[in-house]
Amino acid sequence: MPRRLDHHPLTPFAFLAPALAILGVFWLLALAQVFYYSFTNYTPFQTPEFKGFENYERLLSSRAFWVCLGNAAAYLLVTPVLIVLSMQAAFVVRARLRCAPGLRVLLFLPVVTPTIVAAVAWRVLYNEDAGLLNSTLAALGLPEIRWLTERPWTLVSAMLVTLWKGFGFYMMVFLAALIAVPRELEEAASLDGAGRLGVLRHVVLPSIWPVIALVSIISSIAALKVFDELFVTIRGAPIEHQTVVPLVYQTAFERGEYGLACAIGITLFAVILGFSLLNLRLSRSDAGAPR
Amino acid sequence: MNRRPAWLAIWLGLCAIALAVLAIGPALWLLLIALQPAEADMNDPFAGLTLRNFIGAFSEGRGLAEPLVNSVLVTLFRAGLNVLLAALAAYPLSRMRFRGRDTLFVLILATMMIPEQVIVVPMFRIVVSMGLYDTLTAVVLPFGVSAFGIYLCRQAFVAIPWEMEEAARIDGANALQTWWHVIVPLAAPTLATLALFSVIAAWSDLLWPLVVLQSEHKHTLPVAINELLGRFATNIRYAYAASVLSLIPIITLFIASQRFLKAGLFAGAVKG
Amino acid sequence: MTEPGRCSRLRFVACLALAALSLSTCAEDKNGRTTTIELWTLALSPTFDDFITSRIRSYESARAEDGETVRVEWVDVPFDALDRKLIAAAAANRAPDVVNFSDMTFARFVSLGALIDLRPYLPEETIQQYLPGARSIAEIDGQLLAVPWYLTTQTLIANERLLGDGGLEADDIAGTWDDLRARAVAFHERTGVHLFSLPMGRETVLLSAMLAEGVAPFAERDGRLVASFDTPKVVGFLEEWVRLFRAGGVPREAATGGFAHLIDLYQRRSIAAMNTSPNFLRRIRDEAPSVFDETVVAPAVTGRLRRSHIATMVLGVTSQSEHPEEAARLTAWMTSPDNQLAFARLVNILPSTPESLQHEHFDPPTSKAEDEAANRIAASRALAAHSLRSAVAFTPALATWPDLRRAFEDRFTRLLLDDNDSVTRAAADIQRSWASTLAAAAPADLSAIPRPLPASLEAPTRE
Repeated sequence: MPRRLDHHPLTPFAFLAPALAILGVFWLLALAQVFYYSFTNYTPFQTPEFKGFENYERLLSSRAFWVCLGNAAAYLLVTPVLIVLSMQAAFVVRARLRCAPGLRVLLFLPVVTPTIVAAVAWRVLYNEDAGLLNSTLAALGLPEIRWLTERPWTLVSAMLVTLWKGFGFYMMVFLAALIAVPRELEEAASLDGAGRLGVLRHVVLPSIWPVIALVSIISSIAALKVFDELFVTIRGAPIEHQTVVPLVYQTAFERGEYGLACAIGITLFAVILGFSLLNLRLSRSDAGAPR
Repeated sequence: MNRRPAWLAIWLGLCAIALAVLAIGPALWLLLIALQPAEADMNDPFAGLTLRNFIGAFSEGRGLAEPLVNSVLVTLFRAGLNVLLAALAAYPLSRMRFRGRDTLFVLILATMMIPEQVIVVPMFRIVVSMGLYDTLTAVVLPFGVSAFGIYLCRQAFVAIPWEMEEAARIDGANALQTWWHVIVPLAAPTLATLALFSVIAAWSDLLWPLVVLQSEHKHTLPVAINELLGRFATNIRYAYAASVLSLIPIITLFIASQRFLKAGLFAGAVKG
Repeated sequence: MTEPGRCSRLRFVACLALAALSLSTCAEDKNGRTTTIELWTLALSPTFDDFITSRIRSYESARAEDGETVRVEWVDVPFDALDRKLIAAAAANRAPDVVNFSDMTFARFVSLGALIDLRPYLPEETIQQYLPGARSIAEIDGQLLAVPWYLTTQTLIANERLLGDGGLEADDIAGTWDDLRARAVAFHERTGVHLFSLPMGRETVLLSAMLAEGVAPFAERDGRLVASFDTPKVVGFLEEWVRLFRAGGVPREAATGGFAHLIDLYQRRSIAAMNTSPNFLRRIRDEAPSVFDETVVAPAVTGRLRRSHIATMVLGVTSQSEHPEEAARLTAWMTSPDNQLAFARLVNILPSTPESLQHEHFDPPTSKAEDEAANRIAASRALAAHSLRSAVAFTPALATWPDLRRAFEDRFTRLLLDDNDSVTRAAADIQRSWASTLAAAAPADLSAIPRPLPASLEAPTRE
C-alpha cells in the first residue's frame, strides 16, 4: 500500500472541480437529458411532450435503424485489420532500418490529418468515373468498383479512411509496448531454436497481449461511434449505407425529430456499454495477465 | 541479436515502402488535384498547374483567413484547458485518498463511451441556455477536458516517486505548490503528449462547431471546408485547396514537436 | 477554477484563458430605438455582395426618411446548410427575421410552424404584383407564408465539341427527356462521356419532372387529396429512368451527387449536357474557360407537356421575429419590381414580378456583339425569359411536400443503387409512406397539385 500525504478533506475536490464541472454539465447532464428526451416528441419548434416508449417502438420497427445497426456491427471489422496493420507497422519501424525515424514521422501524418481532409482526399481517389483507384483498376484490366454508390463498398470506403487515419496512432502504442518486451527473452527463445515466427508467437505476442486487448476495446468503441468519415466520404449515399451515428445526425439535424434521435442515441450508448463490458471481461479472462 | 535473414530484410523494406506510400499518398494526390485547373482530367497528374484554386479558396465567401485564426484560437485554448484541467484532476485521483475516489474515476471514464454526436442536442441546449450560442467559447468549453486526458495524466502521476512529493511537503509547500513544482515538471513529457493529442483533436473537430457556430466569421477551418464542399456553384477544387492548406499548420507543428513524440510516452497510455 | 495562488506562471495562463474566452464572446450593443432585422439569403455571397448590400442600405435610408431607425443584418447561408442552421438557430431562439427559402425546403418550415402569414402585413396590391404561378407555392391553407423572390428556369447547357464526338448537335437533344434518354446509352458507349446528368436521388428533380410529364402521383377521394403512387403510369415513368441509370446512361453520381455534381462533371468534360439554371454559365466562363468556349445554350429539356419548371426562391418571416411588420416590409422591398429588375440585370435570374419582365433586358440579343461570351449569356437569358411565359412551378403547394419528397428521395436512391430492388416494390413502399403522411396532415385537395395543359394546346399568350 503506497503512502498518502495528509491533506484537507476538500482539497481533492478543489483540484477536481473544473474537470468535474465540465464533464458533469456537458456530458453527464446532457446524457441524462438525452435519456429524458428519448421518451418525448421533442422538436426544435415544439416543447417536449411525454410519449412513453413511442420513440423506441418506432425505432424497433424501423428498417433503417436495424440496417444501420448491422452496418455498425460490420464496421467493427476495422478493429482486427487495424491491429494487424498497426502491429506490422510497429515491427517495421522497430526493425532499425536506416529510414526508421523518418518513417515513424511519415506514418503518423494521417493521424494529424483532420478527418474532413482525410475524407476529402479519399473521396477524390474513390471518384467513380475519374478517380485514381478506378482508373488503376481499369488499367490493370480489373472491374471498376462503385466506391461511393454501392453496398457494401460505401461502407468499405469509409472503413478504409478510418484505417488510414488510425493505424499510425496504434502503431505508436504498439511500439511503446514492444520496447517494453525484454530483448533477452527474445534472444533466449531464439537460442532455444525457435524460428523468428516462433519467437513472435511464443514470446512477443503473449507479452503485449494486454495492449492488444486495450487497443481492440478503444478502436471498437471508436468504430461504433464513427461519424465524420461517413459524413464526408460517402456524402449523399442512402442512410442504409451508413451506421447509427449518422442516423442520429440525420434524424436530429435534417428532420428535426430530436425525440426520436435521442432514443436512437440511448440505444447506441447501451450497445457500446454492453459491448465494452463484454470485451473487457473476455480480454481479461483470455490474457490471464495482470493489467 | 543475430543478423536478419535476407527474406526478412526484403519483406521489411517492402512493408516500409508500402506503408509510406499509403500514409502520404492520398494527401499528395489531393495536392496535385488541387493544383489543376477545373477542366483538367483528374487522372492526368500533368494536366496543367495553377494556383487559381488556392486563390479562389481564399476569396470565396469570406475566405479562409478568419477560419484559420479561429481554428488556431480554438485549438490553443482547447489544448491548454485540456492539459491544465486533466493535470489538476488527475492529481487527487492518483495521489490522495478520499471517499468516492474510485467511483468518481469510473464515472469519468464512462464519459469516454458517450458518442458526442448523441448528446449534441442537449449539449447544444445547455450551451444556448448559458448564452454561448454562436461563440468560440462554446466550441472550446465542453471539450475543455477529456476522460482520456485525465486517464493519461493519472497513469503518469502514479509512476512519480513519493519521495519527491514528501520532500516538497517538508519544505512547506501546499498541495497546489507541490502539484505545480513537483508533479507537473516530472510529468511534462506526458503533458506534452496530451497537448499534442488535444491539438490534433481540436484542429479536426467538425460536428460540434458545425452545430454551434452560425456566423461565418466565427467558422473554424473544418466548418469552412465543409461549407465549400456544399456550396452550390462552387468549383469543388476550392475545397480541395482549402483542405490542403489546413494541413500545413498542423503538420508543421507536428514536425516541430517531433522530439517530444518518443514512443516511450505512449507507455503511459498502455500500462496500468 | 482553482486559485492560481502566488504562482505567476499559473496566473499568466489563467489570465490568458480568461481574456480569450471573453474576447471571443461577441458583445452586442442593444440600442432601444433601433429595430434590427436579420435577413438570411441563400447562396448569394460573395457574387452579389454589392447588390444585396446596396439594396439593404437604400432600404435603411428609405426607412430613415419615414423617421424609423432600421438596421438590416445580412447573413448568407450556403444552399445545403440552411435547414441545419435554421433548426439550430430556432432551437437557440435566435432565428432570423427574414429567411430566403428555395421551394424545395420552404414547406418543411411551414410544417414546423416556423413562418407567419404575411397577408395582415402586406397591402393587397403588393401581393397582386407577383406571378400567380410563383406565388401559389407559398399559399398554403389560405395563408401567404412567403412572397416569391427571384425565379430560375432552366436552359440546356451543352458542350458542342463533345456532342460532335458522339455525332450529335445541340438541336438533336433540346427537346423532351424522352429524346435525351433515347440517345444516352449509345452516346456513352461511343464516346466514353455521359450525354447528360441530372439529380435523380438526392435533391431529386424527378418528381417535378413527373408532374411536367403530366403524370400526377396523387388522386382525390371524397374531396381529399390522397397518394396514388403505385399506378402503372407512375411506375412506368420511374421504370424508364431506372433502366437508363442501370444501363449506365447517366453517371452514378446522379443518384447521390445532388445538383453540385452537375457543374463538377460538366467542367471536367465528363458530361456533355446539363439542364440547369443559366447562372452556372458565368461560373463556367470564369473557372473553366476552355469548356466555356465549347459551350452552347439551347431551350430547356422538358416533359411531354413542353413546359419547363420554374424554381422559385421565396422570402418568409419567421414566427420568432420580434418585428414582423418591419420584416414583412423588408420582404416586399427586396421583391419589388424595381429591385428584382436590378437583380436580374446582374445575373441570369428572372423576376417574379411580370412588370419587370417587360424590360428590354429580357429581349434576345439583336446584334452580333463583339463580346461573344456576353452574347451567349444574353441568349440564354432571353431563352429563359421566353420559357417563363409557359413555365410552371411544378411544386405542389403542400405543407407535407418536403416529407413526401424526402420519402421519395430516400427510397428511390436505394432503388437506384440496389440492382436487386424493383420499381414496383419501391413504388409500393413510397405509396405506403405517402399515404400515412397525407392522412396525418391537414386535408388538402387536388388544386394544390400543378397539372397544366400541354403548352401547345393553350392559346399563345402575349404579355
